[in-house]
Amino acid sequence: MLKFISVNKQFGDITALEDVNFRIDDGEFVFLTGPSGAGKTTLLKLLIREFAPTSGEIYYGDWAVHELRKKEIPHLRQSIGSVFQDFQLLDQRTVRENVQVALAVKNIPKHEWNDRVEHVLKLVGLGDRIDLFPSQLSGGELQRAVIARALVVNPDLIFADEPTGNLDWETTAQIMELLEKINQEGKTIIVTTHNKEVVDKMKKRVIELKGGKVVHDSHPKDLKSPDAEAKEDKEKVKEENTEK
Amino acid sequence: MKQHIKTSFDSIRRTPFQALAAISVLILTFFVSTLLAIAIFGSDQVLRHFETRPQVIAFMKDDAEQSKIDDLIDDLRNDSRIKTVKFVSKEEAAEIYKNATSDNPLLGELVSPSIFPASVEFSVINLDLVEGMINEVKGSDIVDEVGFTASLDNGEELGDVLQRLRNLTAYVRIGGLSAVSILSITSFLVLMIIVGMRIATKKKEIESLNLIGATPWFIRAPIILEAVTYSMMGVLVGWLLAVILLLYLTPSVAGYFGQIEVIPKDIGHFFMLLGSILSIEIIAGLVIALLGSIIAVSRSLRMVK
Repeated sequence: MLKFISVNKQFGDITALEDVNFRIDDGEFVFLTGPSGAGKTTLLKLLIREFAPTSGEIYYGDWAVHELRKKEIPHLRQSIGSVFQDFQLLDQRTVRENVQVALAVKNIPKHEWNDRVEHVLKLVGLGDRIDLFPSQLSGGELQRAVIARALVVNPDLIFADEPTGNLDWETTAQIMELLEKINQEGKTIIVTTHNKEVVDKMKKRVIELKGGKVVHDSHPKDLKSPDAEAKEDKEKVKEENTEK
Repeated sequence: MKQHIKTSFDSIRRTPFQALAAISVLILTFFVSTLLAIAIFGSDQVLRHFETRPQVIAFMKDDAEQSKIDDLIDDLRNDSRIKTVKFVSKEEAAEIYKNATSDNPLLGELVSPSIFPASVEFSVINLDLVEGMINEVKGSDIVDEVGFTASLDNGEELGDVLQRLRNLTAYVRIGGLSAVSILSITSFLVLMIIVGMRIATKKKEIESLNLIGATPWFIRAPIILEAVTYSMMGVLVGWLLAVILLLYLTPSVAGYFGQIEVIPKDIGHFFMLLGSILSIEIIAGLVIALLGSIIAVSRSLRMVK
């Protein structure tokens, strides 16, 4: 489960995010939409602690992301599959090596690498591009390679920042189909996009940002911090005991 | 670790000229270091040879009793001004004479040990003390004559020669250490620059790794291993080249210095000396590589982030 509670982010005088609140449950597929500069990418960067929030709380699974110490950040990032807008692939390594890097980073035993890499690359449709370098791939293929790298460590949450940004409609549809397939396997998917057509076609939950604020949430959820939830649970148990 | 080693070797393979530059500087450093270490050892040996030569010989009277000679030897051994004491019996004196005249065996056969006086040879810790010691030993009733071997043929005193040798040894040490320090600092800086360049060219890769959750060690390890590889190659090749040169020069050096062992004649000691130098150089190489790369990585990663 992912929660943003009263999250604010300031860059000097500029307010990137203001009082952002939402909850995303496990297995959901959510679009974060809004125009450029709305704060979508900032929000994802807060999630992987590239930035710390100016104020507010962020919870992902057992992590209190806003409170993480520096040395814990790599472990948080290893547990999230990240698909970046600018791909962030290693140019001098093949598709296979790029996917393997995620396994090496997570310290997965080497004997598992080949099977896992081949499996995810087949899943994303790059089975025949395994030994090519990023410069030899098309935009859609690059996006698939990044999705494969995110998937290979079997994370519970995958976020994709503008994954269809520079793609034609046909490739966009293929990528969305792939993300939906991954979601059907139980993964939580968060996709940022300003492509309204994609959002309308997929008919998923939409959280819309504007000027750093959440202006619309198609399926709003109750929001409590883990402490508040624990307190509530305790009170419930107490009440039950009193009734008995 | 295997993954980090592979990554660092890939990196070396992809930029061979940077690697060559770093390794060349390190080879030069450790080549010169090895030669200087041997020069320091050799100059020490020369100094020790002259310092431990018997400087005073007290010839015993023919009728001197062995017990009194032993007492004199004990007194000398217990004297803090004395460095070494050696007793030479009449038989040993005859043997020395025979060896010295081995090119003319007839001379050796003509004399019997009884004509040679027994003697006590000793050296002092400081040549300034020689005169006093000679006077003291002369006063003993079993001593016939006292000879001072420190006067050299050309009128020079051994003390002057020793002083010159001490100066020379000091110059070799100071000069050698200065040269090695300059070369070590150069190697250190070259490694830092190359590591910095490596990080600059890998800026995007480091960013990507950082974003997908690579730990600082995961990012740093291949770069540090690369510096350690350069350094170890520099140590091994530099040392090996110096050893080859040394083996080539050994016959002429040994011939020139004669009985002074500026290079150990015993093969075991020879390789023990070279092994010790190699061990020290490996440690020095590791320190240079680790320090240089860790500082460069920390500086450069701060800039990348």
